[in-house]
Amino acid sequence: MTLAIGTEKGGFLLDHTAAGWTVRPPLFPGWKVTAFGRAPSGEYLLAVGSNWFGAAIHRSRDLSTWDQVIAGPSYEGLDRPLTQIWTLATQGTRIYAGVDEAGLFRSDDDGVTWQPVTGLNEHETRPGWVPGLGGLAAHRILTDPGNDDRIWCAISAVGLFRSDNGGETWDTKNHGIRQGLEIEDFDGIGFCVHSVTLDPDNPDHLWRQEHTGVFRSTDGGDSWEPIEKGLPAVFGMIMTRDHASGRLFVIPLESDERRLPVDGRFGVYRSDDNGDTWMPSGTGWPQEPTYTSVLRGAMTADQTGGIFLGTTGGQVWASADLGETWERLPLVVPRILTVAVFTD
Amino acid sequence: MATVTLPRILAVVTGDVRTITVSGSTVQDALDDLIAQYPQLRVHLWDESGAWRPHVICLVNGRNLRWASEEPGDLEPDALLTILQAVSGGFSTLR
Repeated sequence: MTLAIGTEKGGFLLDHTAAGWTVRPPLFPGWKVTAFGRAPSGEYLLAVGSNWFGAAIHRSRDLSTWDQVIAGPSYEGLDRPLTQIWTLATQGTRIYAGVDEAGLFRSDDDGVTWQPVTGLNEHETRPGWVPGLGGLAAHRILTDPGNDDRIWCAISAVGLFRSDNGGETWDTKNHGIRQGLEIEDFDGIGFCVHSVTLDPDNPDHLWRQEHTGVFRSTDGGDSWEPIEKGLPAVFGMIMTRDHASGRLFVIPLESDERRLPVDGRFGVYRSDDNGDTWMPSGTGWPQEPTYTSVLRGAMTADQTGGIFLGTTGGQVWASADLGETWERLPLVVPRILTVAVFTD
Repeated sequence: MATVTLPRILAVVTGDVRTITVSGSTVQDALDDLIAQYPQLRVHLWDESGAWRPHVICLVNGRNLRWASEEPGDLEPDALLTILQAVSGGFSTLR
């Protein structure tokens, strides 16, 4: 199993064996490493970004030698910059890339060429899209494992969208969410979804960490209800789910103004009842005051009981037992932007 | 023939090559040849509008093209084009 960490200044791979964790030399030192993925062929995907040199996707067979995609996602011809590739998601033979400025791109040839998903990128509400602190980013893509045509895309400071026809058209899916920003002339947007996950065995069931709280839906996102009982704060950036157990994980932060753990107590909260109630997740958290946080792409589950997260302070935490016990892994890296696990 | 030097950070996309010999009698011709040899550099030097990225500097024999009041004109033989990242690019949007 290889844990992939993307940071503000490079990527880091940690290999886990019976002997413990081994850290490989940095990938793309000096570059932001903003997303990891896997192509349908099995090739690894990695997205880089830079305030100077823009963003690109790279492909590799072995996580060691990388080749840049020449014809990557691009708003060529539009007066719209593509500043960062936030997420990569594979559905069957398709790969989706979510980017900033917010938009979705799709590849049908293993990531070699990319086309814009214009149904979303030119959505009728786009004139009302405004960036938040984290930018204007399509940062999370969910796919329905039983229906290739159903896709969800989360856009910061705008909201969640869903397509039921393979990306041709999209509808906003934010009814019931506490709205953070009212956008004149446009209904259905002005929401700041930070993270969203679903149950692949029942994809109508979704859970969502929003700027304004924690919510769930049982109808594919058509409607949402708050699920915050037991949380010390409802603001946070990330939500992760272990699908086999149904256990949900969030990291509460004290308010959107402060974005710090409540009283300096850093740790994960979990729910075993679909979000009805929440409790602190396990032991092993720092006893000293720890004022750090976890960004929206920086926690993941390997779906075999392992949960991994990376902090803005450059620390990596891991649990091998669904969050019952946690350990800090032996390295400190720059601000962590994204975390992924490769199990083969 | 002119020579283009790249910053170390861009060498990761050229297989660690930082010094590239290019042909062309003008700056544009030289940059076109650079991209012909390393097409992966295009997205890193020009943005979607086709404009040179604002925080990337191109020096021609030590002279910053962006500050030049005149068109660069023909390239001298053995000209050196130096590509650098500008200090101004250091601002980072929080995630």
